[in-house]
Amino acid sequence: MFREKAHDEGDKTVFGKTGAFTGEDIIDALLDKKETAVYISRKIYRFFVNDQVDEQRVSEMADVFYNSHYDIGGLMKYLFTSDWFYDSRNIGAKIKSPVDLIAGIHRLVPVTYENKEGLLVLQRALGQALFYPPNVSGWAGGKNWIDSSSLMYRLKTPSILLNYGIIEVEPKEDMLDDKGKQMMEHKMEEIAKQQGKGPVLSKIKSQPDWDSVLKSIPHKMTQEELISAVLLPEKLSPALLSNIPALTDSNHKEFILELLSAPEYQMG
Amino acid sequence: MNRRNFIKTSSLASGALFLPSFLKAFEYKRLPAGGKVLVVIQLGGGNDGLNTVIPFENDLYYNKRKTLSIPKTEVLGLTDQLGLNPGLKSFKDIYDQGWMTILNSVGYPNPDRSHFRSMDIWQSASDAKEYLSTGWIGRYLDSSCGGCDKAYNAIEVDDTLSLAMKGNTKKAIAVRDVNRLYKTTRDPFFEQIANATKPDMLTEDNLGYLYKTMIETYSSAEYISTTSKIFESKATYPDSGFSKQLKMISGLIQSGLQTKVYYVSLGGFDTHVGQKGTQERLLKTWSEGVSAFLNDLKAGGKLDDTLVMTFSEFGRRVEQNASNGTDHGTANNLFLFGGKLNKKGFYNEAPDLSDLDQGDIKYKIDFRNVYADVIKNWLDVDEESILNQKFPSLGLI
Repeated sequence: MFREKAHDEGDKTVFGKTGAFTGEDIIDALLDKKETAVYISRKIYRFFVNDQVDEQRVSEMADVFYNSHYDIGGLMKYLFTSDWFYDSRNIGAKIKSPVDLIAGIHRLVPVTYENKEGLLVLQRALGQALFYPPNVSGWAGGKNWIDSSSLMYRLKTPSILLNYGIIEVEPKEDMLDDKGKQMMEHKMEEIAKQQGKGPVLSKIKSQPDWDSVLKSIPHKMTQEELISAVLLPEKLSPALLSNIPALTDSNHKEFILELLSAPEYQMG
Repeated sequence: MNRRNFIKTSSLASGALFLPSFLKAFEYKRLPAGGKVLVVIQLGGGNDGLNTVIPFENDLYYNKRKTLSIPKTEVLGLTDQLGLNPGLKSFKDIYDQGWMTILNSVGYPNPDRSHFRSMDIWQSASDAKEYLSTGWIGRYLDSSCGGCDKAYNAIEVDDTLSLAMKGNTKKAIAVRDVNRLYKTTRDPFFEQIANATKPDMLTEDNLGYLYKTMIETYSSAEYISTTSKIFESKATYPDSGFSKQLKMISGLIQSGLQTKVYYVSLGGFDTHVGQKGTQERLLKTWSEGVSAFLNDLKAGGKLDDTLVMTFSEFGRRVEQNASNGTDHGTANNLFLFGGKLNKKGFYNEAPDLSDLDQGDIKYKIDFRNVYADVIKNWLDVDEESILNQKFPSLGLI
């Protein structure tokens, strides 16, 4: 907000120049500096390309940006049409933000929620509640998303959202008769009461629409094609792949869940 | 198809525990005798310090708090000027034993009245105008805290991790319940990933970092669970969730777990409305839990190796509001507990209620001076590298 009466009309010295500058003049003086273009380009590089910044690329971006008089659209077009944007080392190099992760799952399998607050609980457990950044500088991102507990929640998120939200204190169904199941349910309620908050992810009641996904998978799709469709170009580690049962005609859902649960799916 | 069946179709459904061989490199050492432990207790919401430690001879206090002040007759006197809230009865004995230090007027320059921001400032040990994405205990872990390099070197008793516990390269582990953590990580799904992890996958890039964190959580859960069985506290604690958390910490300390810092929170102190009963109840929960904890450690011979620090993100305004409550303020008191305190009782004088900053208590001690003391004299690490500035220590411990 510009408060005319509070504005000091006197001379100021900015970057070695003296004059009765307005606020707009100061912004112009900043934009005149190439460093401003470099600074913004570096932020964009880190957000869209890789946490590990290649300063040579940043400098090329800054040239385009500066010479176009700060045309953001032009810069983004340059970025997305550059060959190096699609370098294998820039693919799957970033850790997805929690919202990227959840949105990605939703795009693959449509999900509806019985109770939408559940999504907020999930966002908080994962460390990114939308519209509530930790401070004015926003989410730190990258490795900051990951700690022991957030990683466990993240890895479980696909099976929680897409497989009817089974969580920590889980009775071993096959070992219990009906009476045992009742006792276990009662016990779980008690545990939840004692802990106050209850298991963090217990409140999410999601309804995945697997039918539409399974219908949309082409009949002749091979295992490799399905992997690259779900994980994009990220390679599944051979060790993990050998642990997953091969794709058959009848296990598409299980196979997709295995892929979404792999640490590789956390990357984008 | 439910998930159990889904898991069954994958290779490892037996649940039989077997660690990939390279994980055996994780050695299970116990904390050496005399190994010092820090327990941080966070009182969330902004505890009203002026009704915690009460200046019962000060007319200004009674004038500003017409309906909220604690009558002199109810105050548990410690000195001829200062005494405790009636909810803190169990601290009287702790005070008399010399296991308690109270610091008055602890804060920081340009105080922020937002819970979130002020808590971030306390947890990251930043200036009011500085935004750090790491916490002070996290940076202590980063500094390899005198030789430790495991997630379990710092434990937060909660489901998720606070900023205070996150470093740049190392982070603490959140453990609300030892058995639950163990069970969660032994879910066939995690075992499957842990077992599929090969050493060449623990690369320096982001994906390698995920695998490293995964493996570390998996093996930390095993270490904590195994070690915790060595000692189970038999002491009697009050019946509260907070006390259960302290009892768990006591058990872990007395088991010799190689954990240097424990972090636990008690919330609900944001008493804008009808403060008196709420605060007294919370102070009772806090003090009875801490007293049981200290006595338990004393009996186990661990009190001299343990330092407890309690803080809140801010104090409250000196003058009460119209709803029999108090609003967000600034400087506050901070409590230390332990068997090896240098300054027993009060460290400094009560806040000067005749010299306020727009109705708020002026800070006399920067909280980072207290941290400096704890880091340097208790955790034995260079404090400047963690606080990024020189803060003279106060000789508290």
